[in-house]
This record gives sequence, C-alpha cells and structure tokens, in this order.
Amino acid sequence: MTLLAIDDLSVDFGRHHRPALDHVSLLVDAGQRLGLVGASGSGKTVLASAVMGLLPDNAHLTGTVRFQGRDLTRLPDAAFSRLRGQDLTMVFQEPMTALDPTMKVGRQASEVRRLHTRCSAAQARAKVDEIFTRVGLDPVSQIADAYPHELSGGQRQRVVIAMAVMNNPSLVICDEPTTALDAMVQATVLALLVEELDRVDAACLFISHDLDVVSSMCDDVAVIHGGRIVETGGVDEVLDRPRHPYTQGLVATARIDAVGPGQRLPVIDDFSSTSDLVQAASEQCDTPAPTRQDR
Amino acid sequence: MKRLTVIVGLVCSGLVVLAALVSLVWTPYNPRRVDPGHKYAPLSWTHLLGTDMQGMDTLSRLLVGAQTTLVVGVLAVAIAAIVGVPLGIFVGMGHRFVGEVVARGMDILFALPALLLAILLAAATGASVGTATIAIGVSTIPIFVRMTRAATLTIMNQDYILAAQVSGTPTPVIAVRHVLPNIAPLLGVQAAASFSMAILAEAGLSYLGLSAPPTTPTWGRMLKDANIFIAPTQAVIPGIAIAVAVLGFNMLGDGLRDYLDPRLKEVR
Repeated sequence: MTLLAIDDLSVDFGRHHRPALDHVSLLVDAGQRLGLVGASGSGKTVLASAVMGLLPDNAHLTGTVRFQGRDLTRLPDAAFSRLRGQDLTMVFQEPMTALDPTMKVGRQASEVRRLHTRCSAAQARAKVDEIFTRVGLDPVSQIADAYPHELSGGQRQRVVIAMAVMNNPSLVICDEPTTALDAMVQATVLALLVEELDRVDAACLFISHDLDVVSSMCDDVAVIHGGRIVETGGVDEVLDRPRHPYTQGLVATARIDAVGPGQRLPVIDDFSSTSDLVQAASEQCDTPAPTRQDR
Repeated sequence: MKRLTVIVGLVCSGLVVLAALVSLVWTPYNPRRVDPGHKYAPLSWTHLLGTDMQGMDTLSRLLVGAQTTLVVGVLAVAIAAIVGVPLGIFVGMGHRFVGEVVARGMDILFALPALLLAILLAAATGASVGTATIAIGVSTIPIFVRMTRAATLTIMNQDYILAAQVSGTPTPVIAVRHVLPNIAPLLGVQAAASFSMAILAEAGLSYLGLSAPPTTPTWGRMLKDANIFIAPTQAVIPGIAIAVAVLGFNMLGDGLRDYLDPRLKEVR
C-alpha cells in the first residue's frame, strides 16, 4: 500500500524563483525504508521540509504530496499539526540543536506524547520511561531529569529517536541522523533506529550522503541530483549496477579502498566526461543550481 | 573581574533596597517635619547628613526617597516588559510583513522621549508618581519589543523550534515553552539595564517637578531644592544616591549577562 506519494513536486525560492526541486516524483510504501542519496545542496532537505510542511514563507510549491491519501500541500494548519508528531515524525541531523536547551529531556518527550494523546502527566511520564528504557537510555530517571547539554551525542540522538517513535508513527523522516556521531555510536544508533522502526512498523525516508549507511539501512534508494530524482531502485541493484552517470560517479568515489597509495582520488566530474551520453546527462543535471544549503 | 562587577553591583543595589526597607520601619526624624529653626544644618551627630532649606532631615528624606526610586523603577520596567515581551515574541514568530510594520511603529514610539510623554500626562492629569511611571514605562516599551523580536528571530531558526513544530506543537505553546525560556537571560539583562535608566529618568522628572508631589521626598526633588551656594552638600548627597543606584543596577545587569549567557551554560 502506498503511504507517501510525491507527484511532480517542484519547489523554488524567493522573488527570482530559484529552483530547488524540479518535478520530483517518489513513492514510499507502508513499512518501506527508502534511502534518499545526494550531495549537499541537491535538494534532500528541501524535499523533507516540503513533506513536513516546513518550507519558509518565500518558497513556492507545485505538485502534490499525498500522505495516507490526503494532499499535504492543501492541508489546513490545524489538521497538519495533528498529523505531525503523530503519524508523521522526523529525526534531525544534529541532536544537540534539535532539543530545547532549557528543558529537561524527559519533559520534552512527555510533551510530544501529551500533545497527541489524552493522558495525564503521570501516564505520559510512564510512557517516556518505557520508551527511554527501550532505546537504551540508562538510568532512565537520571536521564529524563537531565538537560540536553548534560548528555552525550549518542544519548541525545537516542532521545530524539525515542520522541520520533513514541506515538507509533507510520512514516519517520530521518535527515542524516548519524552524520554528527562518530563511527561506533553511529552503528549502534542505526541498529536502534532499525529496531524501533520495525517495532512500530513505520516506513522511513532516510536522507543521507553515506552510501554504506543507506545500503545497510534501506530496501530501496533514490538518487537526487540538482533537484531531480535521477535514479531509483532496489539498494543492491542501484549500488551494484548504477545506470545514471551521476550515480556511477557517486558509487565510484565512495570506494576509497580501490584507490592505491599515491593515486588521485576519483571525483564525480571524472564520470561526467567519459562519454557523449554522460556529457548530455550531466549538462541536464547541472543546470538548476541548488539554492538552499542542506543543514 | 566579572565577579568584581557582580559584587559591586550587588552591594550598590543592595544599599538602595536596604535604605528603602529601613525607611518603612524607621527614620531618624519624620521626613516631612519642617523645622525652620534648624535649616541648612551642617553634617552632625544630631543630623547625620544635615538638613535642607526647610530644616527637614536629609538622611530621613534620602531613605524614604529610595522607596519612590525603587517603586518607579520596578513598575516602569514591568509596564515595558508586560507589553513589550509578548508583542516582540508575537511579531518575531509571525509573518515578516506584520513584524516590519510593528518594528517601524516602535521606531516612531522611540522618537517620543519619556520627558515629552511625562509633560503630556502631567498636563492632562496632573503630575504624580503614577504619570511619571507610565511615561517612563511606555517609552521603554520599544526597547523591549525590538530586543525580544531580534532574540525571537534567532531562536526561530533553531532546530528545536523546527522539532517542536514537527511534533505538532501549537504556536502559542512553542512561544511560552520554547521561545520564552531561551530568551529569558537576555530579557533579564535588559530589565536590569532599563531599571537603572528608569531610576535616572525618574530623578530627572522629579527634578523638573513632573513626578511626585512636593510632600513626597524623592531624590530628584531633593536635588532641585538644594541651594548649591548656601549648602552644596545638600545637592551632592542625593546626587551620590542616584549615581550609586544607577551604577549598582547597571553593573548587576552586566554581571547577570555574563552569568546567564546561554553560550557559557554548556561549559558549566
């Protein structure tokens, strides 16, 4: 069953209509984990913001974003607010800034619960304790009573994940959730994320520029470049046999172990000039300059 | 150095508060008792700070004057903050156009100094501590709006506001639970700074007779009534009191900023 259907979505910014997304179409099925891969400035975060309804005032949007059959681009604010945090949640890149520095994390988490569920403060707190235990925050009472700056990066991201899955969402958008963490913590947090997504049976739109992470996390992958989706398919298929030259470059440049000492590292441009077909494709790709920087 | 600022600020502002509190229960003489036989008495053991031209005890008047100073300061800052902070947050979180309109409106209000407003109110209803307080408070509103709006705008770009929106938090709840606590340190510092400005403004208005009636002892009026040629000390004493109060609360605000700076919070 299709959960999220993005159809012909274009977004541009400002008075000069600088394009950020160019006729993007994308499907996410219920329970599916879709990776969205692209360079900085390719439009990944704009796509996530468009789905969450968080585009700034100066953005112009055309096309539709259907979530559970409802068009989010035309949903009134109040209805959208009920949806966000309930069925549709998000995990941010930088857990330090995604948590309010002046509020204890336990209270922040229970607030997310109470916004969407009729329950007493004590019930919400019990739920928070339960979820915090589940995501491996130990000792729970001490961590729930801590301010964000008193926790480690990994602990903070666990809190953010706990908040994202607390209301049993059907879609979680993850915007590079492990970029700010070191390799060891990254692996455990990813494993936790997968476990929690499976538990609540949620689909996931996983935004990343790390092909390894995407290949281990996701069933399918979409490659975005210059505001366009250039290739979609199963993770193994796309990463083993990339068809689009940009994807070929992306995959080849990620294989640092194939480069011998003293040899030059390959760059994406190497792959854009090898054939006429590639040349044409890259010209097409390069024209719309991405406007908004990825956070 | 920072700690010295806080300590000096605390001592100076503490002295003013202490003077006001003591005057509630005890003054050496009745501050309103006119004693023509002892006018312009020099500093002595019977009159520690001497007497003024009507023979009223200066120390008693100084202590009671601290009350007016503090009450006007507190109320004026309260008026400015109660109106200015919600308005600043509202325009900071709202649409850009509304924000610009309000900001320009505040610029116009900026052009109206407290003095002009005080003269206006005094002409309309007669001069009193109340009119002085309102005049000072209203003219301080734009400062609060401007600062709150600027602080709110920076906070609104933070991920945790986005995260709160993503969790479906209604905008008024975001304003109270997430924006206000994060700009509170700045507001505290602004309040302390505005407080010392208000004290100075009240002294100025009293000096011009635009504040408390002649029967109420205030520092500004004491300064006005002093005859600099016959008894210069009578002008110097309230002047020192005003300087100590302004300096004290200013330094307290400065120290408070260093202590409450959110960027230092993470290190602590």
